[in-house]
Amino acid sequence: MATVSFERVGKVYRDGTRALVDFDLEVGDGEFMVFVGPSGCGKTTALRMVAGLEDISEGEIKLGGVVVNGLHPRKRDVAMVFQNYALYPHMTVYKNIAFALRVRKTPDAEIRERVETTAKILGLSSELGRKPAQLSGGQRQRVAMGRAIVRNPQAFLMDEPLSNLDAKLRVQMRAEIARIQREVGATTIYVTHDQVEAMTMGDRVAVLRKGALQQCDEPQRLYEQPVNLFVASFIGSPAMNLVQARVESAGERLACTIGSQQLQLPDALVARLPSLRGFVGRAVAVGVRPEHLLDATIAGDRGDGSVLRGRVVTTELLGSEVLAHIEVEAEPVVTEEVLEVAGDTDRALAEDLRSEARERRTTFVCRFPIETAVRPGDDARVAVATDKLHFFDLQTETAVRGG
Amino acid sequence: MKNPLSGRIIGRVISYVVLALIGLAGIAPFVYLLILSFKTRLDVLTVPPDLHFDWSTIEENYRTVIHDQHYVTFVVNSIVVTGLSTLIALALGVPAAYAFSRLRFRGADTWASTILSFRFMPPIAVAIPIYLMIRSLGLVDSRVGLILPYVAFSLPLVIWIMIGFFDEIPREIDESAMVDGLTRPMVLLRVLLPLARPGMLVAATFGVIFVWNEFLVGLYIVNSSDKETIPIAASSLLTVESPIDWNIAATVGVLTVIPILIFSMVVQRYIVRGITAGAVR
Repeated sequence: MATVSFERVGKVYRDGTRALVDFDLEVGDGEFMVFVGPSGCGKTTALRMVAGLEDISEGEIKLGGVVVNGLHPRKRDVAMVFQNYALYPHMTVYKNIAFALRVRKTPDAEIRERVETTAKILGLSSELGRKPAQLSGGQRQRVAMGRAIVRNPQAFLMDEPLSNLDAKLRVQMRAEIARIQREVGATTIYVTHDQVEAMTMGDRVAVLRKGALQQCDEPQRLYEQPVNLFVASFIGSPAMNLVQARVESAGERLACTIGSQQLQLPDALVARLPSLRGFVGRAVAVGVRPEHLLDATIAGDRGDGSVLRGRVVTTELLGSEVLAHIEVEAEPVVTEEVLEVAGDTDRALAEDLRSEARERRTTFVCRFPIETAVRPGDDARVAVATDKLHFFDLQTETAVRGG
Repeated sequence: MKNPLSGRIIGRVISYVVLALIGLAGIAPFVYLLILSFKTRLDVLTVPPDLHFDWSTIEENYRTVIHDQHYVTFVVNSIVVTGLSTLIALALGVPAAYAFSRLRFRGADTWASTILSFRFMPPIAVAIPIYLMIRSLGLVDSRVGLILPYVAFSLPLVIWIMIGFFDEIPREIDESAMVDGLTRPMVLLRVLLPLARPGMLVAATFGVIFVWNEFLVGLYIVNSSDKETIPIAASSLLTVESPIDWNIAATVGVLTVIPILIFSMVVQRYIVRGITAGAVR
């Protein structure tokens, strides 16, 4: 096992398209690193450059401290799991798994032993004599994993390995891959466009957009301290609610005005984000996670100016909780980033966002307890956990940080 | 009221009748040829032929062709020339097609379509220049002299058929094999060739049929009768003998078709599978 480091790596395709810009990252020995981002963000390109399947236009990639830029894939000692598995259809499962070892002229007895151990880890022992066409999707996926782990390579590279499985199997394999990775302790780079996968599997998650690294952090930090609007809107499901607001000073204290309503900002928040004072009188983007919007009739109005009024548009009953979509008179945040994230999920979603912006209304998604009495059409009062608010500069789209 | 079931039956009957007619039109000349080859010189002229056969006549006709006319020599010539030129065309064409399918290089598309356009040219159009080139190489009246142009004629088709088959194989399989430790040529040999086998059989079949039947270029290059392939031998038989023995000519025809018929039947199931493998994912 080894570290993988990207040093100012760039990729320019022959037609001039830039797939990766100044990419700097170090994946630690044994670390599970996830690359996540919308389609076309360069995550797969970055992975393929490590494997040697794409030329490196700029910068250097090092495996275990050695520059591998010009090295043929077979000399890099990395294993890759492809999105479509890329199994050899004419070979049995045994031969598929053994292939890389045979190519490296490993003694037959050792091949047999290693293939059997691998098959046991993956629960494929009874399928070794079958051909890929006779296997189910989940089994093929396991064979693809087996081909990688049998080699004991410097690094595992996985390119959306679960995207061809159905939802249930995907959740199951997600846990399984994470378990196998811990068991073999392999340095892993895992590419996905699914932020849930990224959050649940990665030791660290690197968020990419248009070929540029946005933020690389532990999942929880990514969730709690997104560095910009893109990361804020991309990470989390349901996504963070974003709305335009104006920061105002009310004596010593700060407040933010959302549409015609005002939220008092707690002193602790202002103390944590001192630079917020510089935004007084300016428009900012305010972000709040669905779980930080409470049903005021249940949570109670603390009378500290932390309640927003709106109209319930729809409710989604999830059994353990209710997702209430509440429309508030205020201008939504419609930046290129936010539209890109919305459009990546669903084209109609981006269109909705644009029409909301024209009508100056913003839909907040709130995670309410199941006891909530709100019903579509109701006027609702939402208690905002104001100490959990996020602020973003609308010009630079970066988060307002401490200091 | 119209019964939809009877409508469907009528439709089916009509389509079978049409199919049968087409099949008959295709096979009738061959059946006629077979019948003629069973007749004596005089009986051949009876129209329609009567279906009374005499074993001794059949035996004599076939002995005449196989024994007296050295038919075996021509078959051997044809098999050697066809087999070798098809094998060489595959050996050159398959790697070329792999390169066209997988590697990005300057003018790849232009080259690929240029190569295909060579195929549109009838061999006779270049028969004379080819003859002159073969002569200056000193290869006139030799098997090598035949094989060289035949390889050249088969190559474009082999390349084009194989590009189609390679394009159907996901690139990730190559990439996976390279990450597993193979070089490009080894990927082709160890992983892709087994996968592209139906395609190679299709390409080989087209090549074999073309070379087996090729006549005009061969006519220029071959002079002595012991180097003749079957089509050339058959034609000299017809032109040299006068008046023509139609029963003998028919026997030659039957014997010309039989080897290629056997070959086609052997590879047929692969061809059918190969063609659909190219069409359906």
